Amino acid sequence: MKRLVKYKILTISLAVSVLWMAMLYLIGRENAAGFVGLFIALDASVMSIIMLGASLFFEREENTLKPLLVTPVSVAQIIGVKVLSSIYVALQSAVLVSLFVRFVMDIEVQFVALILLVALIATVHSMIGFFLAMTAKDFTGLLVNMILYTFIFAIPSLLVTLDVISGWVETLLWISPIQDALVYMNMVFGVEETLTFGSIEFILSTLYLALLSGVLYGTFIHPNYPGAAVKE
Amino acid sequence: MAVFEINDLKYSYKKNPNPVIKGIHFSIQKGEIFGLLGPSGAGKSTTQKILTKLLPEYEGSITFQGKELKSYGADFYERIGVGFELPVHFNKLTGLENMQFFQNLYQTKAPIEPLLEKVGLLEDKDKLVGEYSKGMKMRLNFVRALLNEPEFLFLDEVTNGLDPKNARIIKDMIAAFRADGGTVLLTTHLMGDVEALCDRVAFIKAGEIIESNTPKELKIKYGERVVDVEYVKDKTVQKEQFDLTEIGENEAFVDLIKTHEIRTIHSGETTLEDIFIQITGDAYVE
Repeated sequence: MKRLVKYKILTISLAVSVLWMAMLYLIGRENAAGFVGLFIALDASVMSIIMLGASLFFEREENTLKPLLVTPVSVAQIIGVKVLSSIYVALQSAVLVSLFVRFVMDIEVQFVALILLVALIATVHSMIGFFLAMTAKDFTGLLVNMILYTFIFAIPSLLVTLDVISGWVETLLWISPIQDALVYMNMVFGVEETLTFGSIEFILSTLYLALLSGVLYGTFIHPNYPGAAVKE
Repeated sequence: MAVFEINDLKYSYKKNPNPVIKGIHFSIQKGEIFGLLGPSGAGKSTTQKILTKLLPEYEGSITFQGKELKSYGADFYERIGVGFELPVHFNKLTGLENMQFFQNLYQTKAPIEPLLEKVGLLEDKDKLVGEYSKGMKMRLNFVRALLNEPEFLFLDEVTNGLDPKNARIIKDMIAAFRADGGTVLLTTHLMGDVEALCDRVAFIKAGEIIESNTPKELKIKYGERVVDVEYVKDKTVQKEQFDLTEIGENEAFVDLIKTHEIRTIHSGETTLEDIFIQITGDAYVE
């Protein structure tokens, strides 16, 4: 927690939350419900990728990864704490913005679903962030990986959200964690009307994201993290 | 009893088919300071990473306190301290905050402020590490290695970047650690540190240990058995060399000592620097 404060991550997250709130207020109540889910989904997904991915490189530059690996904490604990910090930052933003839209703009919010789903979105995107960083040779490579991921998964999802594209592309995008995040947040804010939390699509999608997290962690991130951390 | 027993250790990095460590054998006895010397790329850091379990996929046998290293879990790290070659701190935390952060990961906790005081950092404990000089960061590195009162220290270039005064403080603390029963693996290029601290040294080159002994025995083995005498004759300083064998019965030597003002007498004992160059074939760079 101290590092989140000292490295100004919480401050920047707070500033971004204020920016979202200002934009939503300017958009107006009628349209805000359609955008608040988008902002929170992008915040929880893209920011988690950036935070976890970039942290690997910066901590390697500061040489602060190696000393952690020669302490009694396990690799699982090191990764777990980083994911928890990502979840915390995502939740801080999501809860603040949601409270704002609920009490200032009178938009309905399902808070329990919000918290659980933001945690899931942040978790899977943290794993994606680790994966993108650990498969990159250097920081430039990481940026390229992030841009590719955004291009392949985020932009089509945005185009679907804005009704620019639809049909089979929309169906195919269910494999996109960002698309799932967008749909979840639209459900939380009552914009998504075709799905419910008990529907088979929602359950399968949730299982898919949980499985994706587990597979990335178990088959790649955990076994390769020490090697990635001591790489010079 | 050997704290570490290394037998036929081999290691290759994944993307390099050529082994970096080619079957080395050595042991580190309890209560000694063992120096691992060698040119850059010889395998010193790789050996240290293997012994600190940062590189677990090695071939051969390594035992720590009689038990296979691979069988140890997190409890291994409660017993060791590691001083890295480069600064390893969070630049946006203070010196004290850094130490508290790392110390909270251990069960055994040494008092931090006395350690900071010993290395001359107590007054700077509340400054951000990003504002520290390199020497201050290296001293903090050393403190970090002692936070859990370890029984074994891995020290890599521990006096790197320190002025003579602070280097002496660190060396005195290492010597005190040994006097208290601790054991040290020291990796260094600085022959002064080796001469001052090490009980035994091993020279590693291209992944192989090519020589291992006490510094004194190495100097005798690789030195010349001669005595160089500088004396004053006719108001000028002159020099003469004598064979050390049965020097007491060498009449010319005895006569010289008796009849002339002697400026210096040195044995032909060589330096570890010369031994390093002779053994490894490389000039070391400080």
